[in-house]
Amino acid sequence: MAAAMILLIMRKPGNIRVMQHALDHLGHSSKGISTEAELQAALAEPISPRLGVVDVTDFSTDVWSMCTRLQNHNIPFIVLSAPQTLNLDNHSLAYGATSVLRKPIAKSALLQLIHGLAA
Amino acid sequence: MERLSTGVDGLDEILHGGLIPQRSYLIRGGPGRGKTTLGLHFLTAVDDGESALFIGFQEPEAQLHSNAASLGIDVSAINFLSLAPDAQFFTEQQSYDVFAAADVEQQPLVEAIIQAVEHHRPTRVFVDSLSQLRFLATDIFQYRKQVLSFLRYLTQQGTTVLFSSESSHELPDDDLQFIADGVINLEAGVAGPVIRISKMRGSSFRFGMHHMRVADGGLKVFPRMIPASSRQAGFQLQRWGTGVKKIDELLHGGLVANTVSLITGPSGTGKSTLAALFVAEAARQGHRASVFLFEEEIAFFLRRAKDLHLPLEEPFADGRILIEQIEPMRYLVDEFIMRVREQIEEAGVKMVVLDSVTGFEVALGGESIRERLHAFAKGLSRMGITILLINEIEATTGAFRVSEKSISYLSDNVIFLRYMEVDGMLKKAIGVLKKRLSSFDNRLHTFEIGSPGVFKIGEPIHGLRGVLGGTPMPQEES
Repeated sequence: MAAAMILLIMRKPGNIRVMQHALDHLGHSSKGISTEAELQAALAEPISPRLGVVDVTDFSTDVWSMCTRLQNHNIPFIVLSAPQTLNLDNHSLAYGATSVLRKPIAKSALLQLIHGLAA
Repeated sequence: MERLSTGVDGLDEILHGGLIPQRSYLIRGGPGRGKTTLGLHFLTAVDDGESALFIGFQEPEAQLHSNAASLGIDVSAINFLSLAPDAQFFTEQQSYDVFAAADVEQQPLVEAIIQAVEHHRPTRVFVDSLSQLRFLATDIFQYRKQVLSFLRYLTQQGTTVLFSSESSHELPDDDLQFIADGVINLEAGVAGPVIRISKMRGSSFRFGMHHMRVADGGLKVFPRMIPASSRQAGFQLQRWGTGVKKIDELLHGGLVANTVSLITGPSGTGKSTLAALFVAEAARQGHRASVFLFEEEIAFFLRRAKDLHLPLEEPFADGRILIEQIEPMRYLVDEFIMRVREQIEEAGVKMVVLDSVTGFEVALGGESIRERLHAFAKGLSRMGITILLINEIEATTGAFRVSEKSISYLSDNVIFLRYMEVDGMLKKAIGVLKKRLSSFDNRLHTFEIGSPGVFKIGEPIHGLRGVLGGTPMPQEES
C-alpha cells in the first residue's frame, strides 16, 4: 500500500509526537495541525491528505469548523475524545466523523483502523 | 556457598556473608530511607572483572553522580542507564493521553535495557525502581509477568539484581516481595532508621531490626547484637579486683572475669568511683579497659579521679584505659554497641564500663531496655569481656530495690551502695547482693570516699536493722 498523508489535528505536542512515531512505523507520513490556519495551508498543498485524526478534547468550538473543512474536502476523519463527553461525540458524528474513539486508545486498534481508512 | 558483598559491611554481616549471586533482591522503603544509596553501594562493590549497571527511572545520571558525591561514594565504576524523563518532556509539553503509557513506553524501554545489558554485560544491576514498570503494564497479571521475565532475563545473563520499590497503601508491593529471592526493608524504627531482612531464599540471616544511618561515606548498618548461645572457648575464672583490699575481700577476691556486674545505688554514692577502681586495677595489671560515659564529661571524670588519687590519667594517656563520652541523643543503640565491639576487637579491651544504664536507655529512644541491655551485656560477656553496669536508683532511701528497670536478672554480680541516716548523719553502706560464680561476704559495711584510700570500707555493720531502707534502727536484743 502506498504511503498516505495523515493529518493529526491535535493541540498536545505529546500526542502528535506519539502518533507520528506510530504512523512512521506503519510507513505513513503525517502532519501535526493545531490551528485552523495550519489546516487551511495543509489542505492547499498538492498532496491531498487521505485521512484526518482529530482530537477534539483540547480545542474550543473552532474544532467544528475544522471538521467541516475536512468534510468539504472529502477527507474522512476519526475523532478522539475523552471519556464521558457524550455531547462531543454526538457533535463529532454530526460534523461527519467516520468514527469516534475514547482516549486512551489501544494503539494497535487505532493503527489498524487508520491503516484501513487510509488504504 | 559463594557470597557477593552488598558493599555495606554491616549488611553483609546480617546476611551471613552477603548475597547469593545471580538472584534478585528487593529493597523496600519509603522516600529518603536510603534505597538508592544501598543500590549504589552494591554496584560500587564490584571486583576486578565485574561490571555494574544502574538502571534508573527517576533521577537523571548527573543528579545521581551529585548525590553519590555528597555522600562520598565513588560511582566512577558504574554504568548508568537513565530512563528518567528530561526537562523537555515538561517544557515542550510532551505528555500524551492518546495512548496508554504501556503502548508507548514499553517497547523503547525494553530495547534500551537490552541494549545496555548487551553492551555492558553487567554482573551487578540495580533497578531504581521496579515499581515504575507497574505504570507501564495494562493489568496486574501483565505487570507480574513482565517483572518475572525481566528479572529472569537479567539473572540468566549471570547478573545479581537489586531492585527497589515504592509501596503505599494504594499501591502495595506484595507481588514484588513474592517474586524476589530476598527482601531488604528500610524502615523508620522506634529510635531511628532500621534495616530488616524479611526474606532470603536459600540462606539464613540475622533476624530483627538493625539500626542504620545514611551519613558521610554512605549507608552504615549496625547489626543488632545477639548473644552467642555459649561462651567462647578458654573461659577462665580469673578475678578482677580493685586493688582496695577490703573491697576485694567483700568479693572474696574480686569479680569473676567474663561476667556482668551491676553496681547500683542512688546518685552520689560512688558507683562510678567504684567502677573506676576496677578499671584502674585492670590497667595496672596490663589489661585494657573501656569506660563509656553517657552523663559525665571525660575531663570531669578524670578530675574527680585525680582528686581521689586514683591513677587514671596515665593509663588513659597511654591507651590502657579508653574513655569515651557518649551523647545518647546522637547515637543509635546498635551504633553504640558497634563502637564498643570495635574497641574490643581493635584495642583488645577486656573490661567495659557502661556509665550509666540510664544514658543507654536514653539512646534507646523508647525501645525496651531489658531486651537491648540483655543482648549488650550477655553478648559481650560471652565474648570474654567483663561488664560493669552502673545503675542509678531514683530513691535515696526507702524500700530497697536493686534496679527500677527490672535488669538485675541479667547480672551475675550485684554490688549495692546505699545511704543511711544515723544519728542525724548521712552515711553510706556497701554490700554484695549476688555473686553467681563464687562466695562473697554477705555483711553490710559502712564506707567513705575520699583520700587517702579513695574508698575506705569500715567495719561490718552490727546492731542495726533497716540499713537497706536507709533509716536503720538499733537491733533489739532477743
